[in-house]
Amino acid sequence: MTTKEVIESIYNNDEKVIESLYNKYRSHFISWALVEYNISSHDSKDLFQEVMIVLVMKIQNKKIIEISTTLKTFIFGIGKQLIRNSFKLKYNRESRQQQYYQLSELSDDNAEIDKGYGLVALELSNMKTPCRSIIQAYYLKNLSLKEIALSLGYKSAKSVKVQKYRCLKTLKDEIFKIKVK
Amino acid sequence: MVFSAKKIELIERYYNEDLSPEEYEFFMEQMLKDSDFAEEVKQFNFVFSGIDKARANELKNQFISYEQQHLVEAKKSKLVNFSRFKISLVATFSIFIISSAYLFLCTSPSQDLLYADYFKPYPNVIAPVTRSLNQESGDVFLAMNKYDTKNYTAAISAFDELLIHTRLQNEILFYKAVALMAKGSHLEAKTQLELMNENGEFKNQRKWYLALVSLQLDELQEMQTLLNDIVSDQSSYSVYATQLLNEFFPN
Repeated sequence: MTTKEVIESIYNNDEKVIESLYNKYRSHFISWALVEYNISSHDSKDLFQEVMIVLVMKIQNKKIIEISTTLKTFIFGIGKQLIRNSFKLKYNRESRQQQYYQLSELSDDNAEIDKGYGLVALELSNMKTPCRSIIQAYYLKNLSLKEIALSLGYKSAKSVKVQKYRCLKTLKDEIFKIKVK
Repeated sequence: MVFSAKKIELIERYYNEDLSPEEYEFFMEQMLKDSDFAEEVKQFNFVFSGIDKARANELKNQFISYEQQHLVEAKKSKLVNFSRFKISLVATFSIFIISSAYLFLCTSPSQDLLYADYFKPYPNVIAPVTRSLNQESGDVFLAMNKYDTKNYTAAISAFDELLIHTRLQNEILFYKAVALMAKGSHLEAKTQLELMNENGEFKNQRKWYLALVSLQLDELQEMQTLLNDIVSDQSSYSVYATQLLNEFFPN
């Protein structure tokens, strides 16, 4: 499979390809993180999962459409970047100071993201069909509008698109009803 | 607030940083002019980041399930090895009682013994016999001299220094890996072999030593794939690879 085909398959959320990619680079990555950065096997597994999340989400959000290096180099590059970011946070004095001063602000932001996820997850599970199916299919399963139209019996991708935005508005209104309460 | 699919699409594209410079300028102007719109953007951003987090969580769970499979496979492999060990123990004991002559014929392959049978430090084929006046050749000579005299710890340090500037990246990575294997640091050796260019110098040697490392790390599936590759490459290691495959995976 060429890199282009792998990217296409990830974009189409082909779980078999994602799984084989995960298994292909997993042990290389874990031993590399252990030897090069002295990261424990447990932590490097977590780190590798973060790398794969970044890779899959960037491809599926069309932020990555092609890769000029090999996939292995690219994956290890994301890993290096994540490690550097975490080292910077840990060891950079300036960043430590910033962290100290922005501690309350940062934790507010993180709390907001967690709260956001919790509320979205809750409201999504409370949503009725077809909204729940459309949002889950489009955003969580990365199906195309055309695929959703076919599977849910819509006339066209365009009608799914309009319905998706209606559902998003409903979702947002419900969430902010709760937030205001 | 009135529903407009176009407006939400624009907000979503703003969230995804997908607006053209003109659209972005227009969008920011609207945000400044219209506080209700700005509030709506803030609310949708909250929803989109929540959805992103949900997607990341879904992926995380998917990857955790792969890890569980790895765990099951590792346990199975250990169990197989343990069963092999038990069977061989019983067989050896019985056969010992019946006739000590059959003892060695009936024991199953032990990974450590097999590894010891097959692993030999690769001979020095890159360093000049005498020290050169050229700085880089001189450094290679000194490093390989440590390797040749089995002073692997010193050789590894020398290889590390060489790796910073040498053009012989593949070769030095390879000898560093072999030195690590000789010291019993198989995981580190594996990383060095993986860092090598798989199509560069020592490509056949790389595969063979990688297969031996996999044997020692109990990564039998990986070892089998590598050995099959070596056999199909028909390199000088294909005879050993076939032997090892037959010993480990009869039929």
